[in-house]
Amino acid sequence: MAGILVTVGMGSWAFDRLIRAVEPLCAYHDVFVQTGASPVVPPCPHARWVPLDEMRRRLSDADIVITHAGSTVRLVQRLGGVPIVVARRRSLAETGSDRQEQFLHAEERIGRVQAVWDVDQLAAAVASHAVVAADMLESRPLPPAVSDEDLIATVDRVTRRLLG
Amino acid sequence: MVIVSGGGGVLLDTLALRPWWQQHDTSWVAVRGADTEIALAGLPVTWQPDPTAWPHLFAAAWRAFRLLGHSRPDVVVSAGRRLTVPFFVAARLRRVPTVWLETLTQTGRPCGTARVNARLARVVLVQRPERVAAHRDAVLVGELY
Repeated sequence: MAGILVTVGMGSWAFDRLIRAVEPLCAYHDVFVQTGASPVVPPCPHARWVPLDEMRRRLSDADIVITHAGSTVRLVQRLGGVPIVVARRRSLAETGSDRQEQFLHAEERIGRVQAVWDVDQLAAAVASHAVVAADMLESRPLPPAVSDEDLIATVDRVTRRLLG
Repeated sequence: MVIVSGGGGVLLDTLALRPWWQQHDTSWVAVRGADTEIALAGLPVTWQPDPTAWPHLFAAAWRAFRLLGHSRPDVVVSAGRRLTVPFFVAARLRRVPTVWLETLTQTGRPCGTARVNARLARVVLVQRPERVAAHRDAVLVGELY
């Protein structure tokens, strides 16, 4: 039994497909689902919205994070994890753009993600996660984040230019 | 500075600019949410409704125009989507420069409000080197988190 956190972000678009796909996992794992705008109620502990600090703690504590292809992907990676990622699809009215699909394709090529394009494969992805994650952590480097000093210098340079 | 933010990834991006904005006199305009209310607690915030449809943008732009007239910021910064549009329009009318922060998850051609905001902004901060060429005036800031 793994501790699984499922998160669909804080936006106004529902992601029913992912919430429904998680339901079978609730019988075998310790699952918490952040359901967001979805009206679907999973048979396991859940909350529509989770404050940022609590979400960071849950991300850190989870054995496996299943997320939409949003900013959570990088948060999990920075915590040393490999998220299982399902992209929202514009064609299914799960979002208003192709951004998540494009981001997940890009991450799938070189990043530390276990992409799931068919949610029927979600349980299989969870079952193989430990092996897949170990391989990715070994072989795929994570780009560094900008330092505070460089961030301040860059944005100060931009604002000085704008203000003449 | 005025920082305009919604919730979710947009909030993460604007909060990640903290080393910079905490050195300046900063106020926030944000959409109420479980994450924004807690993350921005203690900071000077003006709460604004999320303009969920294009007709609401006109009223939002008028509110933004008045707010920027009162606060008279040097720069308006945002990583946001819908609420950012009226603020960037109002900032143009007030001749206040604008900076839009592109999310790390943007890998292709921006569409919708992301494209509008990128075009309205004087400068776009991007987090990946390959995104510099995607905008008229982009500056690489690096991955924020």
